[in-house]
Amino acid sequence: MDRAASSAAATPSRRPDVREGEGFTILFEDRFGQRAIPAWAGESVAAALLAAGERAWRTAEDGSQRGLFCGIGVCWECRCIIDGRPNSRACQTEARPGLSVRWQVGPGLLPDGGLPDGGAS
Amino acid sequence: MSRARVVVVGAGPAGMMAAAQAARLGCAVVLVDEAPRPGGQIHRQPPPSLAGGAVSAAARPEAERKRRLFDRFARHAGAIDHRPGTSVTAIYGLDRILIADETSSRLIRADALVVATGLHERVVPVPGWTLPGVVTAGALQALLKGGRVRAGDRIALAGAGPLPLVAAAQMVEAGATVPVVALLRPPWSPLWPGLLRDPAALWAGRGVLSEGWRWLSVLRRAGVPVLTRHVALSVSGDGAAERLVIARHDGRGRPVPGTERRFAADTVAFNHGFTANSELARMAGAETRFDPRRGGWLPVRDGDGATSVPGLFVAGDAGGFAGGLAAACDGAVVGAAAAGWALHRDAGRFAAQAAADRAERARHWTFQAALAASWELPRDIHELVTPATVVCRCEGVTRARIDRAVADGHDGLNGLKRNTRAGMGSCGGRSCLRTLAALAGPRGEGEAVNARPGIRPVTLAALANRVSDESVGS
Repeated sequence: MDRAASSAAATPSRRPDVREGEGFTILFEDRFGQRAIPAWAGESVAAALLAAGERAWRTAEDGSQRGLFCGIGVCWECRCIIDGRPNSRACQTEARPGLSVRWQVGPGLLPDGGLPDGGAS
Repeated sequence: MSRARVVVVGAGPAGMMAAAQAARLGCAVVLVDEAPRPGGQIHRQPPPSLAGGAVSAAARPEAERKRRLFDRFARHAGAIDHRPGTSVTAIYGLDRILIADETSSRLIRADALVVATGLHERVVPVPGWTLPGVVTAGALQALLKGGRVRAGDRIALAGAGPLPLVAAAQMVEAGATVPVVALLRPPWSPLWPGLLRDPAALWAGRGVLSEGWRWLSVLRRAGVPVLTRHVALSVSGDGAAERLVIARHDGRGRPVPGTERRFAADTVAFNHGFTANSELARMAGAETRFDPRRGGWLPVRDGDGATSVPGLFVAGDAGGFAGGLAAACDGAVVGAAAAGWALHRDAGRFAAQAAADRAERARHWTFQAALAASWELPRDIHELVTPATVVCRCEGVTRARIDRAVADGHDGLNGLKRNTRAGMGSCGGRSCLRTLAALAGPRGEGEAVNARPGIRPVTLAALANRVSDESVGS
């Protein structure tokens, strides 16, 4: 899936209700670079990513890409690197202004093979 | 000596009511829950900043149930030590329950422990089910209820029972296009024989039936095709879900040649019923039995929720699927029993206090017993899991690898797990154990996997930061 195609689906219409509360952005960095994703106080990182048209944020050990699956913290498929912590569940982490979300490869590496800044935790 | 303490795990309808009841009867109550806010999966609450918004006619009954539940909980919430963002990691005995949040862990004791951990969705794997964009039907609901976000623009659903229909209608109301809902059989058809045999069950379930009718009407008005007796064959796409392929099946789950149909979709959602979260009860030593319709390995319990372990109770869907309405009543009944045990070593002491809930629970149970048949999967459904299909998503174990292990004689679930690593990843087997059990040969469903400490992944930092129990529930 190329990046332009994945982002093209990002429309405000994935948020069907009139929304109150303060909007802000989180930073999502995948293999192609970093972009700001709109988010709302209290929603999950996964909700913000999906609303913005992102569907994958991890490469599994077998090389396949993964994103959200169960949405309730059971399956751990949506794990990624959040604020430097690998294996953080996007569906269980609330978005906060400026939060850093990075694509995870395998057990917790960055796409370039490096270790995330937050260290192993 | 400190007050008698009831520990409740899970803050869904059952856990909320159990905690409220035990607090009302004078116990110190600790309510441990993974989520930031009570409600469980069914009444998942959005954060305050996202609350509000219009409630459609079809969604109103659920909103009303939720309001009643929260009103009842609120009356006793002040007496409950609610610990959100916290999970039970291990149970070494009722006097040694290890709980952990993001940064710390502690051992707590309970005079009575109520496991109200609910259930999670079961999905039968098909080729392509690990693609991004493939989710569970419940995930669609969780995103909508918890974040007011719909997962995609064009959402196809497939599976068994009523959940795919309800989730599809909710997605339509949220503005998505739903190209198809493909069900293994009409979810209403298994209902009729049971309901006609027992008209009281029909009467008891009239609310749920009319609610289902409202959701079906939403689909009908939107022109969504609901295809029954159809089976999902695969999901495909270039790096993410782009289409769902389905076919008619022969009644046993085998596709009828020449009936394949393809539906373009950016999101594909599956549900094939539920699996009870029974691992905490099993780790505490409760006896279990296998019930494929109501959630797999279920703790054996009596009408008070008492298990084979003195002082250990199970409430709500963790004891077998019966839905949120029954779970709330059951929680109130089990909460009274747990309080009786904690205070007087007599689970029946406060039975009269929960008589109304017991009677209402009986009505819901009667209806749900008829409904349970709609989750019975066709006999040969797992024949569609191709050799190359990943069964264990965490460890990347394929059907072919499982079959080889079974052929080599590893036919029990624990043996299969040890031989293939299937079920040993981050999810603790929650995504694959039902499939493994179906593929594992004659012993597969008889034997639950061992439930060991570390039931939820926990950081070393939290384990190392062990704090004292003194502040809990006093």
